[in-house]
Amino acid sequence: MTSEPQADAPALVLRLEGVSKRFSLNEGEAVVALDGIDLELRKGDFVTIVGSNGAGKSTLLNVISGAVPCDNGRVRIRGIDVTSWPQYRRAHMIAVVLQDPKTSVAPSLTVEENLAVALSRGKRRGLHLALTRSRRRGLQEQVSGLVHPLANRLRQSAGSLSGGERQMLAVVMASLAGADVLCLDEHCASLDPLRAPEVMAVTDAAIRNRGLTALMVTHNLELAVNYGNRLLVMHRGRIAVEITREERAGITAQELMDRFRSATGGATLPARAILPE
Amino acid sequence: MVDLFATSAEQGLVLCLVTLGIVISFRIADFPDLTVDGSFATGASVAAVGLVAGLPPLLAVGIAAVAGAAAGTATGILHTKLGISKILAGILMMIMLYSVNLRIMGRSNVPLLDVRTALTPLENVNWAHSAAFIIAFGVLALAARGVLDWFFSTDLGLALRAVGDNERMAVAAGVNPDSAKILALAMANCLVGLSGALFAQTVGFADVGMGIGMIIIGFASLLIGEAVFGRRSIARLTAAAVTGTIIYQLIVGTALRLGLAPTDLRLATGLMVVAALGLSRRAAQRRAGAEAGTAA
Repeated sequence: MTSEPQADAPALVLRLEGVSKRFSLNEGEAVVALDGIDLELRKGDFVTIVGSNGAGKSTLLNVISGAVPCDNGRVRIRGIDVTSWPQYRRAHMIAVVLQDPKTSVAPSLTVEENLAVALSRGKRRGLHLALTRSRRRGLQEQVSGLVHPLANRLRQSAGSLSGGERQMLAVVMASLAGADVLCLDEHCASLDPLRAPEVMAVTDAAIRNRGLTALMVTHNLELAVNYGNRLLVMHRGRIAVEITREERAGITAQELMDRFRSATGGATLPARAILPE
Repeated sequence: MVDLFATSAEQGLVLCLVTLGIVISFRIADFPDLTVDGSFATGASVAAVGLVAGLPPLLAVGIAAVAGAAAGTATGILHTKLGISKILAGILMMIMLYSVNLRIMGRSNVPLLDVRTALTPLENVNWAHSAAFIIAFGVLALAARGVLDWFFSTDLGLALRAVGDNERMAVAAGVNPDSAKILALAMANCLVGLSGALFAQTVGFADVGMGIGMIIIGFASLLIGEAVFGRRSIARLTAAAVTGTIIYQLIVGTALRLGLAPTDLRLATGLMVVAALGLSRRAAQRRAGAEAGTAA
């Protein structure tokens, strides 16, 4: 899903070229998770990705973040080929928020310590104090701007936060150090219906306020059509439908479902894909 | 009685360096490192051989600490680069160090009775020479604790704590997990090697078997200290390590005076750890039950 660049188009941030990934199963069988994916993201793009289970959505994010190496193809960020880089080395370019609130923060560290770890993303970690007075003040301002309630709880352990609060903290952490691409892997899926919209609002504010380029995987078509400026529907390791920036405005969940059926010869998204998370 | 307190404090302040090492590996890096039993004897062996060869005592102690760090680094490499499990990497290193220590010493035991050691100047103090040992070891223990408290509040130290607490999150934040684990094990076993070097000079010999069971002694000491201070912060953990080791030595000294056979000491220590772990598990279950009840 690449296109000819226009003269006034925002800078190209992420480019995937023929990215493929297979996972081996028992007895020599393999499942194709990604099948020659081509994708371009320009500065400020907020791409939502939906698809059935096993469509390759999370694998796509994992390949981009470096958590999973791809078998074929190239991953370029700002034109730099990072295909062979491990995840920690890409972290200053790619920030990730995971699905499970238990894995998205370090529970024994305080909220501000979690933020300090994230703030040093891409910098040399030396023997200077992680939380000086000025750094604390800066972190408090950053948090106040996005998640006001957390600003008063910076010295509490992150383990004492609720699932929704942990995900909000994870979003703030991911947006702190100016990564090029923010990957959100169903980060609202484990939350209760009241908390999920709050976390999504914080996410949207972080993306808008900081001009981030983002990819969000979700099973929720409502979220997929309500947020972002581009929408992808994946099926069997491929991008089956792409709703471009121009088509994006006004599309409904039902229209998206119809286009998906038509593109895949009648396949349907799982029922929970259209239910609020 | 005063003698019991003095001996316990003296031994506790030397061995608390092992417990501080265990704080780094077990509690901070989440790495149950069994290298300790070998690296303690490595520190003792290297220091003893250096002292017998006429090296300046502080240099011999410094080399012993570096040897301990090298052992920890090797364990870290076995785990991170060769994919060997944490427990097995530690066991392998512990077993290999037994032979290494024999090689270093050339025999199983090196006496230090007629050799000038780092502690010789303290032995010449006329007034209460036990007090001089306690003050010297106390300063060293507090310095080690202070360095750890400071290190784990730096950017690098915080990254290491993040890897031990949630490796996925730390990696996503750009921390190299392999380097962090190797650094943690090097630091932990550096302290253990240093403790072995000082212990050998305290007792007047280095022996290839002197590290056996040290991991359990350190762990028991830590559990005792954590019962007093808890483990909610690095400062509490390091305070628990120092205090717990002294209390453990007091308990052991008292038990021996009350007739516990020295040969049963390891068994008693092991049972103490089992009891402490069992009690802490039951307490955690009670807490979880109470929280669930409150939530309901």
